[in-house]
Amino acid sequence: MPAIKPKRKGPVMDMTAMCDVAFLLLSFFIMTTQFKGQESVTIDTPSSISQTKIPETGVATISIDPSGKYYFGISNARERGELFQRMAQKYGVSVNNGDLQSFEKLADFGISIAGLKQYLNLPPEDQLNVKMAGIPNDSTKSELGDWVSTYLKEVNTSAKLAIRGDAATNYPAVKQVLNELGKRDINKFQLITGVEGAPN
Amino acid sequence: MAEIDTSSGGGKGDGKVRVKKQSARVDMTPMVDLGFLLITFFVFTTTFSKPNMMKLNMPEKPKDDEPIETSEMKESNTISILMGKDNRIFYHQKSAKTLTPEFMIESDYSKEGIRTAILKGKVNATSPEKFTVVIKPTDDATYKNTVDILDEMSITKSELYAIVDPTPGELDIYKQKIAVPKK
Repeated sequence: MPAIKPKRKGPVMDMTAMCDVAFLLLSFFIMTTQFKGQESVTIDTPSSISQTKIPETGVATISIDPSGKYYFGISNARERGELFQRMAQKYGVSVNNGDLQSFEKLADFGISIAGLKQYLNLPPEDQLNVKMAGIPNDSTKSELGDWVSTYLKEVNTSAKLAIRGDAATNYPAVKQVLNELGKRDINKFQLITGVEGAPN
Repeated sequence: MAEIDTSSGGGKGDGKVRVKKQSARVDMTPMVDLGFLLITFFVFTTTFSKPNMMKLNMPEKPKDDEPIETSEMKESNTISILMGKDNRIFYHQKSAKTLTPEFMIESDYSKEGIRTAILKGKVNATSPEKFTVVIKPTDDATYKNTVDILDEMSITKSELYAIVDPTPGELDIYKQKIAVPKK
C-alpha cells in the first residue's frame, strides 16, 4: 500500500513587508540626499583632528588651488542671485534674468566679474571646458574681497566664511586672503579640513 | 497580510454556482529586488565625506590712528615656530634681539618633533597659563603646514597662539639653515 504523500508546497514567503521596508528606506535615502553642485576645481584638503562639522547652509567658501588661484562659492543657491546682482551693480555690469539663473547653478566660480558674464552665456557643456583664471585678489584691487564682504555684510550677515585650501597651496596665497579680508574687518575664518583620527 | 479574502462567505447550501475566484495575491519578490537594487545604488553613489572645519580667528587690523598695544613677553613663555620649505620646521625660544643661529632648532611635524618641543616649552614656562605659541609661516610654507601646526595647537591644548610674519632677523637665520640639507 503506497503511503499517502502530502502534497509538497514550495516555501512561500510573504514579500509585502520586505517590499515596504525596501521602499521606505529608498524614499528615506532620496529625501535626505543633498545634491552637490558642479565644482569647478578639485581641492585636496589637508586633514586635522578637528571634530566640528561644517554647516549645510550659510557658508561662503574661498577655495585656493595649488597654483594660488581663488574660487568663491556660497552654499545657498537662493542667495547667489542676490549676491550677483549686488556685485554686478557695484562693478557696473549689466545682468539679465538668464545670467542670474545660470549663476544660481554655479556651486563656485573662479573668474573675474568682467569675464563672468561671458562665461554664463556659454552652454553648460562648454562651461566645463573653460579653464578659470581665478578671481583677482591683489592688494590694490581685490574682487574676491568684494565678493566676500558683499555677501557677509549685505546678503547674509550670519553666514560663515570658510577657506578651503589645497594641501599643496603655498602659504603666501593664504596670507593674501587673510590680509585682504582683514582690511575689510573680516577676521573669523573656518578652515576646511579632512578627517583624521585624534592622536594617542 | 495583504491578501483579499476570497473564500465564499455564504456557505454552500444556497445552491448557486460560483465562479472560482483567482487569488489576488501578487508576487512581491521582483519588486523587493528592485527596491533593494535602488537602495544599493543610492548608498554607493552617495558620498558621506562631510568635511570638518577648524576655527581661525585673526586679530583685528589696527587702525592707523590707534596706538598699537604691546606687551612684553618673557622669552621662556613663548615659542616661535617657523615653517619652511619641503616640510621643514624650526623653532626657538628667543626674542628677536637675542636670537642666534644656535638657538634655532630644526624639528619635524611628528609627535616626537614639534609637539614634544611645544609641550616641553610649556612645562618649563615661568607662567604656563600665559605660554604663547607664535606661528611664523615663511613664504615657502604650504597651507598644509599651517593647518598641521594649528592642529598641534589643539592637540597640545595651547590656547594662546598667533600667526605672524617672521621678522627679518629670523628670516636671515632661516635662510642659512634651509640652505643646509636636513640630516
